[in-house]
Amino acid sequence: MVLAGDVFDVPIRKDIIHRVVRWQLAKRQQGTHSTKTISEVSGTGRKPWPQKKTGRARHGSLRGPQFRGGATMHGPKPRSHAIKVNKKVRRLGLKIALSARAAEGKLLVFEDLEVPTHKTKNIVNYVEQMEDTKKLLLVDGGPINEKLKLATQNLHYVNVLPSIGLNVYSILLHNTLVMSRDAVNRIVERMHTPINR
Amino acid sequence: MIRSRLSSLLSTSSFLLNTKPIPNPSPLFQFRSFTYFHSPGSINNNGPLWLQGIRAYSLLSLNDLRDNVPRKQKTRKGRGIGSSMGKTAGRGNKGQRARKGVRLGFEGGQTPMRRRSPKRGFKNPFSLTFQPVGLGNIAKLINAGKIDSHELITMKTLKDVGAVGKQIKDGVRLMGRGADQIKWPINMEVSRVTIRAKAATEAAGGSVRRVYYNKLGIRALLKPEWFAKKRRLLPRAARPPPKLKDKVDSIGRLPAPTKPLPFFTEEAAASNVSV
Repeated sequence: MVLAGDVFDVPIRKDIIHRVVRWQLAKRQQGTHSTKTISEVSGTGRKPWPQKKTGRARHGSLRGPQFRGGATMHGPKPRSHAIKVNKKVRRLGLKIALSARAAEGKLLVFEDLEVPTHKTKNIVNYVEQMEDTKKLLLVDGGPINEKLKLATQNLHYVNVLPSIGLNVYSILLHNTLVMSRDAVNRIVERMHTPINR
Repeated sequence: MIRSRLSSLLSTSSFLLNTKPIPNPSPLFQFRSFTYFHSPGSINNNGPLWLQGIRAYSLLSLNDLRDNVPRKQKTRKGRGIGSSMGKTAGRGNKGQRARKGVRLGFEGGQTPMRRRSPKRGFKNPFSLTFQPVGLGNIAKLINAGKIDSHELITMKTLKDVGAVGKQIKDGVRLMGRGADQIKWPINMEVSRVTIRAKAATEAAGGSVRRVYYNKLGIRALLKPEWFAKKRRLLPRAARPPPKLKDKVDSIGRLPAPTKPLPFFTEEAAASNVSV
């Protein structure tokens, strides 16, 4: 099978991969961190003691940032950490990741990912036979076969994805990529359809 | 090399996955059979791994990613002597500016410059700005082969080639810098010409015609695909308003024309009409 050169043979650009991975990790952040400012900290707004005559330092409120139980200055507030990365850059990142795995020889294309049973030990055997594989990513074309899903569920070093779920971070996380022919065709077709505005 | 390996693995792996698992196989036998089917050059016992072409490190891994532009350190003021922004944090010593700040333009009560200087002028809503392009520039582009000098050169060709840039406000003005480089007849349709530029092109045997386009006309001339995308027809070319009639020779044509209008037919038509 001949793979499309403009998808599996593009020059490797680490800076684009860096940007795409940073985008992926940033957009998945929940951003639900929160602190209370001085207006939100529970407690009165009364001036604790008069300005002068007591020998103590002057204060307007007992909930300032210097106090125990007081507010947090410039603390985190719930926000989105997502950044924008152009669609064409994201697409190019995927192509670069696939090309890198293909260039190293860690991209395997199978006829299809049919497994005879749902037994995990078959998958373990197959993985042991592949040389120098620590983490394996299986990419299937359409919805994932139940048997394959059950067989790989308990292995922490094997992950399955449908072809729509293929992304740069997952490719980099696993050092070997196994795709079915259907998945390859779908990916190449997706890379060839223009990004519409 | 990759492709043969892929195809060989394709055949072996499909063999492995499509058949039933052999009950209780001897692991040694399976391992050997798998390696036997590898492409002939890949198992190489002739030297260390890095000589054989098998990479020790991956081409792309998560621990080795860097962007082209490294991120800048932000200066945090008020954090120590060594940062050069400690203690007073760039504000100097005491005073209103160190404590609060003075609003922009305030001069301590003295009449500020904005109120001392007189108002001037008005903004003309009908003024037109034309992008200048010199004859020398056009000659350079013709020599480079980007402009075809046998065809009519319109403002659209100038924009596509990059002679004027992407923003063309009301049109293009032909200027005379480098006029001595035009040695062939060229025909141009632009918004305005300077006297010397016109003389230079006429001397070389060409012609310059000043055409009128309004804003919509310029858009239709330069970006007809915008209309096509909205499924609108190209608009009809507009006549110039009476006060601009003397500054132009004729109405611009839409879409961008390819053949120059010769001048004498216009005069003959005018004379015929007048009679």
